[in-house]
Amino acid sequence: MLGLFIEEANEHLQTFGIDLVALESNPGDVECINRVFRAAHSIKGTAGFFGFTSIVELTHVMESVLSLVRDGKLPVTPQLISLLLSATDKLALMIANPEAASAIEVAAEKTSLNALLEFEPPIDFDSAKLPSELLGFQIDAELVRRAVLQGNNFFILNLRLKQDIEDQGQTPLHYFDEIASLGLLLDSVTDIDSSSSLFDEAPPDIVCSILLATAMEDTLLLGAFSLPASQLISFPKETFGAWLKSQPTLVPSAKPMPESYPQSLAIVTPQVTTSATGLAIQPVIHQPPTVVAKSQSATISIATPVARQKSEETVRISVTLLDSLMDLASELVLGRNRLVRISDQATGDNAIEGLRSVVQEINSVTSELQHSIMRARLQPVANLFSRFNRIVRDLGQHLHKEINLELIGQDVELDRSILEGLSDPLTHLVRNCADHAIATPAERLAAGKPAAGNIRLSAAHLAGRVQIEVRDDGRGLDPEKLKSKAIEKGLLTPEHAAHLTDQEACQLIFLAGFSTAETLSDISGRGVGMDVVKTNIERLGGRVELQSRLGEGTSVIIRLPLTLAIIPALIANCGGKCFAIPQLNLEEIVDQRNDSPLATIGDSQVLRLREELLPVIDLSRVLNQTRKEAMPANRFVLVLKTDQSRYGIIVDEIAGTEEIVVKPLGRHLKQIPYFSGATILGQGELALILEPSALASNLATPSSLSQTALAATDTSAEIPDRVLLFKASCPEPLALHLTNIARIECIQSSAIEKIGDQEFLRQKNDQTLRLLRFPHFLPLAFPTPDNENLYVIVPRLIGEHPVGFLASDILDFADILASDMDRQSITVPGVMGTASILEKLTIVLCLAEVLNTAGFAAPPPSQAPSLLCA
Amino acid sequence: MNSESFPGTLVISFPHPILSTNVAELRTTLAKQFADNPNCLGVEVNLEHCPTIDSSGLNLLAAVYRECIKREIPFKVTNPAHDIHRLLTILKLNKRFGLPSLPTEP
Repeated sequence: MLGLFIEEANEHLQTFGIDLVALESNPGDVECINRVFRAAHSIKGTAGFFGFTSIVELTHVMESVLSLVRDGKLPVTPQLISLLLSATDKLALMIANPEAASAIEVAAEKTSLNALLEFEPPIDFDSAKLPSELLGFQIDAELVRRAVLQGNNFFILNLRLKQDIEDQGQTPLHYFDEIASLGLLLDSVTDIDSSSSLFDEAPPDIVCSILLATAMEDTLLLGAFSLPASQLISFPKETFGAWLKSQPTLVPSAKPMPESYPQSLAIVTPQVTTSATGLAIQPVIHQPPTVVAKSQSATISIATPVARQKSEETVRISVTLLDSLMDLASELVLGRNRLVRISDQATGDNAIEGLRSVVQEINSVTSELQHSIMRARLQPVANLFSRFNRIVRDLGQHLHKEINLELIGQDVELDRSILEGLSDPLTHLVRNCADHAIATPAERLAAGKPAAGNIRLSAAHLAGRVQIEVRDDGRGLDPEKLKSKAIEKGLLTPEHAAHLTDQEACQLIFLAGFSTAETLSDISGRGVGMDVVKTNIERLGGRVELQSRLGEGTSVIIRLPLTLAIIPALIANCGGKCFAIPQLNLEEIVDQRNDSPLATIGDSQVLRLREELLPVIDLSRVLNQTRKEAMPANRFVLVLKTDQSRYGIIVDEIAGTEEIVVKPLGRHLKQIPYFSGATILGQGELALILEPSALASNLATPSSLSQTALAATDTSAEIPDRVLLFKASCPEPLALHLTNIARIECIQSSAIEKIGDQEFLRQKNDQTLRLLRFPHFLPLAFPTPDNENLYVIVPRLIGEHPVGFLASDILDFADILASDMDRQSITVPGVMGTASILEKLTIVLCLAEVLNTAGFAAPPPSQAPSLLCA
Repeated sequence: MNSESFPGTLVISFPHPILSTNVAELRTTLAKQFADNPNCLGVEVNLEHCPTIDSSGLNLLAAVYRECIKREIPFKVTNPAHDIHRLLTILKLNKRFGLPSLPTEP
């Protein structure tokens, strides 16, 4: 019960804070005032039930002040809102540990709030303005006001305890609770003065009159309680509306609350008699108990107010239970994965009839169950965003800046664990915006901007992920200043800085210890923030990007997965062990098994991937794995992308993809940064989940800047060219750059057809391929007769008339450096030079020139790879 | 039901629920108690061991109260269970029965 109180009170407090800030912007928002009033009132009521006097006292005085605001007797000022927010903070502390709430010092808040109250005497019941039936009741004007604002109807229910309650199979307490649950039980009067004495033969029944405000209509109310119409008196809303207008507003005194609070339950001497209330009891029609039960049931499903219906559609579930359900779903997914694998293996003689369909059904149900539970863990980002109203407001006041906060996409949902993890990074970003990005009004006006700065916090679904953006219209980042600061702090060399683009320079703020703040403030600027922001986001499986324009503003974009519990992953083997690589980080897989070894620059291996040089890490080396059997030098390279790095890791084999359940690591493995968790694979094998961000630290240069530096190196460091070595029916080995070759076909020499002195090869698509022989165009030795088997090298980019060059032998592939080539010894068209490759002097061909010599148009320069002809 | 008479005060204890099923019997017993103690100066109904009360039970308590009013002697209920106390508060009988109000949900 206490836990529930704390939970509900915290929810009220959250609303309270948001609405107070909203009220400051829009003081005339009546609904907003009513919400904060109701929040204070609810906390007070429940705290009173538990006997938390100090909480009751504080909320009481807050409620009193809000009442003045609501009645237009107290203007909404920033000072008032600050005072109420300060009291809210204290209230939050008290609610966090209500049993020790009295230890929290709230005297200052109470004194300040009390000073705002003007004492007015409690209202007296103005009988002249109300119908006579209401004379016996003592009514709390505040409750009536609330009921009127909610559009409730007003009724007196005259109930005979025995005939209307007991004879219907009900207990009185339950019956009254039922009535109270339908609206506001404003007051009750019980007539026992006319009841029987002990010695009466036929004791009359006690009559209790209930004054109820409810959204229900009279017919529904009568149906719900099986009452005859004569026992119900209806009052139009206007009865009380008019009365309230004539009443002074209830201004509770600052004194401790009376024992009888709320006043609606204050004890008064009954003045109502049977005749005074106009009660005319009709003969009771007894309903069998079963009908009563049906009637009650109908009450819940038909006549319940909308708000109550909504509350019945949802239940509160403890986070522990939800986590436990997720764990169970995860175990189920693991079991499902194993079952699917076993089912796949049960083929042929091992096939089990019906197994496959059952497994498919289990597979489908498991997936649905898992997704349903994951959905149950989702919470709207509004839960997180809403707190920034208060933060931005307080920062604006503290820094003497005008800042508007715009919240967009608050209904976007995220896994609760991600939402929790996002809190600190977002808070830091917003504080940075307020402190550094948004200038003072004077500065902004001088820069031609509106005096009030704008921070926009938005959330949106984007390609299966959630994108959160923190955007401001502030000063923007100065790339040159960032570079200078990074050089000054030793985080960057001037050479590297010179290669950075403006956007790359902006990413410098994510380096640890980086800050351009001129002065340290208690808000931000200590340089221990943005790197932590980045690290925290990456821990959540997210990525951060920053875009900024000097003088215009900055945007930080965070992309997050919807959930962390179950993720798709690639399973790879390395050194005999299985590893899971999140698909999120995987860009592509490069099969290097048939390629030459990776090139090396300095101490680092690099992969040339489509004109790009990619740093590569050998996973087995990073993890100090010793292989039991010799592995080939060339394996698979997984191209991974983290927030700031793009690199490859070498693995031995690819085992496939799987939805893996992320399990936390034990304490011994937690220290190893390369693993973010562990999982159990379909085969039952354990696999560690690689953390790509941490692995990136093994790159020769650790950050994205390294990429830039590497790119810069790219232009200066010589990159080897991969060439095909072959012979063209001559003894001299020839070399042709691989980028020039579209394909190589193996043919039988008998397939060559001649027309005149031209040779052709018919192809499967009925096209003919013109065949050329290198010795016809190059100064090579006299060709030998053709072998039975020949090769046709089909070059790229030959336009509409395809040609092929005949080769007698394909020797190998090799990497050569341009600097190792002798360009002087043979200077004929078609020969780029000679080089010693595999201990043989090899002629390196220039395909474009050979084609020109042969009378074929060389590809235009824009289409030709640079190495077609150096 | 037990009863004992302290000097001037008739104390009646209900060690069981007061329900329609036993109200008639209790009424007879109580009537006898009152008849046997015509000069008592007050009545105290001790509900310490009474877990619940229904509408007939409330009627009975009201009848005892009425009898005390007629005799112009004080009447009070002591040690009610929380639910009984709450019910009496909702019906606003608690004060008449000498009980404080319970905090109630506003």
